[in-house]
Amino acid sequence: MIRDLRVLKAVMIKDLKHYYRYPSGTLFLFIVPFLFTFLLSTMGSFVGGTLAKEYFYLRTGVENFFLYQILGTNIWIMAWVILEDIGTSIRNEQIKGTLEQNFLVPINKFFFLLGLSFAHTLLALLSFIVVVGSSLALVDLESLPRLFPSSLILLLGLIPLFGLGFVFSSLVIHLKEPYSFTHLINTFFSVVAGTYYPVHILPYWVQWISYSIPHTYLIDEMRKIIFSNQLVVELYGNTIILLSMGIIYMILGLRLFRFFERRARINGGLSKF
Amino acid sequence: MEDYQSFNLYKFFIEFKASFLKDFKIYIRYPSWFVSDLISTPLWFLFFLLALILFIPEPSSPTIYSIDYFFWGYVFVIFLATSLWGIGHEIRTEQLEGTIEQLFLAPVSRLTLIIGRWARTLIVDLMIIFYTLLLVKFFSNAKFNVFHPSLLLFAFVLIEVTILGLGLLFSALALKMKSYNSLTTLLFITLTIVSGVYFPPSALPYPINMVSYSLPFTYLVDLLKYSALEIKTIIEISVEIPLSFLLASLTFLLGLFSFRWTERDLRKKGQIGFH
Repeated sequence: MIRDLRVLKAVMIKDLKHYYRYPSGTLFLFIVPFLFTFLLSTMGSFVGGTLAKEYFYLRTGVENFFLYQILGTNIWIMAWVILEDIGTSIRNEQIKGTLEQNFLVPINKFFFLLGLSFAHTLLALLSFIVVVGSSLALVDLESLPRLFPSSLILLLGLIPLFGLGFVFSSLVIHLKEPYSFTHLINTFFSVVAGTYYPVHILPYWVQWISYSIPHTYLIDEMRKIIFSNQLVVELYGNTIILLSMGIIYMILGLRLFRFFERRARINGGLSKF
Repeated sequence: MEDYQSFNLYKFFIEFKASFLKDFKIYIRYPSWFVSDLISTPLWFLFFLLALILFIPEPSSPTIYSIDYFFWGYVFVIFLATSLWGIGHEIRTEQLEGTIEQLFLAPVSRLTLIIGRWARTLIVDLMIIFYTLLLVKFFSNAKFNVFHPSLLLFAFVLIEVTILGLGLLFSALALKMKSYNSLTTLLFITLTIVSGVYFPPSALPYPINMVSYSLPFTYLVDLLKYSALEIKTIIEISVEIPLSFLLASLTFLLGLFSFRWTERDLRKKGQIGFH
């Protein structure tokens, strides 16, 4: 047990050092949500003209479209980075030639993956507090205390996202080319998760896909807490779904990872790309 | 001994062919790249359009901004993305894979290496743009009439010259910077905002609109939209055409000189493969 915790700590510190060495990657998480929100808000204001705000309210029930969009962007970028970083971590190790060394170490690979997630959890939480917190403080100070319950939901929502990241990571061992794959899936998730709009505006069959990924529930639950002032206990339905998804995606991710890792060890595919 | 920087047309074609084929072979080795581009390009367009629906009374309501307007802006975004990732980032990949020293030791022009890569990205970009156009036309009421076809072609050429210059500039940056990917994403979004891709620069608040008016891309996007949709240009069209030509040429030269300077500097410091 202590040995496993040491592995977790070592991987987490390694990952945090990486972020420290490349600070613009961290900076990215804090600036990009504002840039995207500015782009979308300006586009929306021009398309809708002077009545843009009214139309937006009619469609979403939210008066402040800046807050609505920055919340969506923050979750979207965070989910994107998590899926991409974890999904491509194996490939990056392959390119740098460090994968075999890491896989030769007599440790449980589950803790290797979990260590990666811990570093991301810290960053995701920090980015959420800074981006959404500062926006609330500037635009709607009354809603600022709602940051705490929504942070709790964020931590819960990160579990299925990491599970999905592990699924991506396992497929990378098999597919060899992760960047196009993660880019494609991440773009698809962005469209169906309702990042900038409620999912009910999507066709009915697309909504089925929307409700099978954690992003949708996470964004929806955050909006309900922040804009409708709902309590976490009132949202128990979504919370249970997120928790179930966390368990399902984690188990699926780890099973797939072990399966593809074993196969790659047999056919020598670990270092091929 | 022949100087590898000296220009010879026959040598240029041989090097261009080799560079193009090398890049093309890498591209087809990973067919998932093409599949991903083919699916994700229209998806990004849809993503932004769906976000805009919330700002209009009905999805079918006529607004001053048509789908065509956004599409031509999006075409520029596709080219811009190519310049940053398709050309600039490839240098970074060569660094990571440890092949950059071998390439730079070869007695060939660096410019040809980059032009070969650019040619491959241009072919793929045009295919994807055409495919996205067909898809958007099929699912919407967009007309895609082009008012000035020859001017559109001219605007495309100028955009490509600028994109190549920007690609060279970013190749130089990729050689210098450790965190290329994150910084270019930031720059990509910033350029999308300030270049008036999805809205005219006059829509931006002061002083951001001043930045917009000082960028070459603003006039190129404007020229592209004018030639396709005949919308009002930022400045008189008779002035905008030569100005765009001048700005495109300057961007190309700036990219070329910055790349040559960076390479020479890093050779002295022994940091070509440093990342």
